Amino acid sequence: MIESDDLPEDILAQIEAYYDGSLTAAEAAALRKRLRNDPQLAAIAAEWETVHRHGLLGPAGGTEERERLRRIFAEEEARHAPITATRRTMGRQWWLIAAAVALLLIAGYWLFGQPSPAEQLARERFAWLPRQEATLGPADDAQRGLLAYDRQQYAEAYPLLRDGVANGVLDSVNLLYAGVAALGAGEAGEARALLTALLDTGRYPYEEEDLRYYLALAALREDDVVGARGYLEGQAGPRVEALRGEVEGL
Amino acid sequence: MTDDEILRTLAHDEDTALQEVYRRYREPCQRFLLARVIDPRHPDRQALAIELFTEALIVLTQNARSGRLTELTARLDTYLNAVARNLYRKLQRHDGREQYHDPRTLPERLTDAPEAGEDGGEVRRLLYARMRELGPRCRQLLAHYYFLELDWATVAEMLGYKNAASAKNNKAKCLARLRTLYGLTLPNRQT
Repeated sequence: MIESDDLPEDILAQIEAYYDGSLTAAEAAALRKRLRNDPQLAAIAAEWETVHRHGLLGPAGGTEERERLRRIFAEEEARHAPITATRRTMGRQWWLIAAAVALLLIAGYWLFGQPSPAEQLARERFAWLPRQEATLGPADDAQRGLLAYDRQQYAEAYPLLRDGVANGVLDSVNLLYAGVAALGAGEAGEARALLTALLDTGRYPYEEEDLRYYLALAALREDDVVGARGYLEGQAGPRVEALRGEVEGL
Repeated sequence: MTDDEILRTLAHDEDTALQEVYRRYREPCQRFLLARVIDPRHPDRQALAIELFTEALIVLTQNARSGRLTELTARLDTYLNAVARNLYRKLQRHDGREQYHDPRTLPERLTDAPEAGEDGGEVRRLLYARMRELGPRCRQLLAHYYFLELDWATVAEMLGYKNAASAKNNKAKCLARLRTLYGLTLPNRQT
């Protein structure tokens, strides 16, 4: 019989725990004993147990279907060359490329003097965008990228975020932060590519005008005033409208 | 092809379309598994990456075809990577036995009731109907945990819960609501 301090709801919760694998053997034995001694409770418990065994934990499809899918995918796999892990090598290459680009930018700055009015405007209007939680199990480098972004360490953040999205560790919405970080690091072309990729997906954590605001800043950093106007056209919101007014004055 | 279109392809389309989906995701997913998930000391990493990716795609395909997975809260490759990563973790917990080749192994019954007839199809149909009544939040939570077999940390992040404990706590609440829909609220009794 159910003991006075043991609510019946707890019995059903114990069944859930049993199928989650979090009930000890001793607890499971005690539960079995209790159910054997109480037919009314056992009948109700049996129904909930059946929901678990055949519904929640039961297979989504038959074994034959599973084997058929395996054959289809095995045939497809056989048509391609094996894939090898090249990420670390690529990572080093990206760092080398980023370092080379940074050197070129520095050299360009000294060669061509002060920034243009458009570029100056983009620098003045750039601000860190607080990050919304939109990640899927970030780990290792991706986690470092998110932390670097939150600390506004853009040069470190953007390649880590970009790679995190590329290899699936981070959700694609993080392209926004990768783009903002690239812009903050002075990589306007990279920022434009990342933000445009996000715009194309149609999924982003903020409103579209926020995304277009940073796209416009990236265009301005590249002295592309016409492109910046295009990004801002038709967009509402005080920040976008203020920037549009300033771009019109260039 | 958008992710939603791919999900519909998995659910309904011909084998040639399945091959196309396989081609689309094999490289990024296997590369992710090799670079981020599989132990570098594993003796046959490439074969395991293929196995995990294939199994993850089968899990998604069968869930899509059975009507269990009808909506995505992240990109499809994110799902594939997460399912494959969780399969690998399960594999590690089972000392390398490739348990995911077989249908899920269930523990012994707690009660003496006979198993549901044949393949339990009627049990599943009723469950899916009850889950629809739960609303999207609970439906997604239960589906991600039970049907896609994702770990709590991943479920929390995919569905926007604060952390794994919060998602787990909400699962308990959702199951309590599900029990109510089944009419399984037991009478309180005294000994």
